[in-house]
Amino acid sequence: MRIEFINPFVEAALSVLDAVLQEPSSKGEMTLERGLAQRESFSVSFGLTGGIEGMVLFDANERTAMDIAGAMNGRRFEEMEPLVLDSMAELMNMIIGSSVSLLNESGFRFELTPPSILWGRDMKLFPINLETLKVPLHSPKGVLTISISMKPRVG
Amino acid sequence: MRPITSEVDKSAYSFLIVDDSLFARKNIAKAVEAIGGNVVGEAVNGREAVEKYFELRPDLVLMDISMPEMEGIEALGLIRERDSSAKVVIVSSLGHQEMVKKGISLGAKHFISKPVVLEKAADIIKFVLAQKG
Repeated sequence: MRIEFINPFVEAALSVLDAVLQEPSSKGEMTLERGLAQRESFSVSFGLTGGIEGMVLFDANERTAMDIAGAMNGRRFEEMEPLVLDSMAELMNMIIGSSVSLLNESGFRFELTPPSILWGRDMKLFPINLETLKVPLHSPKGVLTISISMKPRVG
Repeated sequence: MRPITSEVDKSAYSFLIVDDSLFARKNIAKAVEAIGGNVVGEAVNGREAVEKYFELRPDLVLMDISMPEMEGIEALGLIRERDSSAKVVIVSSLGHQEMVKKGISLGAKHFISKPVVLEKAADIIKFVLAQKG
């Protein structure tokens, strides 16, 4: 997996999180795994198509999702109500938008599918035949992990 | 298009906010409220935006790009086709630069990037409202 493809997602995520939460977030240690892309109970995923195929997934536990959404909306959430899901999807849209901008500047050309929300306990998501690079982002509201599974398109 | 802070008669202006995200609509509404503007309508896709524009005739439309059913750029084109005086500002994440350029060519007056910085957004809105025509 090409590292220059990953960094824009991390850079954009940190920048958007800082802007939205008004407090700095930091990058944790990257790990490369085969298979498992999701660990936590709430995630937002985007498909990659075009010159690159794969998936970008953001996941967090419910408390973190509610606390991030709470900071975005200026209130506290105690349940995963629709505004939490909507706010998290919008947050990921902003991160993805900024990432694409950075990647386009680096010469990568691809398209993203609209976001999908996956929410439920004990889910496992396995991209087939793709390695997954995971980068935890430590925000003031909890850990948000970016998982990127991709490969250049063949043919 | 460089935003400048200019004083306008704030209370006189009406706004239509178009975004498929409830959070995004509430958030940009804060910028409208910050200048004393009045949100007279909201739409969740481009088709609804066109209908509500001609129903409400707002002074300014704040339009997202990426939406289901009809995207913001198409809605912008349809609105400007029937009302060349319509003032539309695009509100979107980075990564849609090509669409933003297309929007400007179709007559969008400015661009507000997400995440929205309220002070900047309010400045852009005031700048556009202060423009003649």
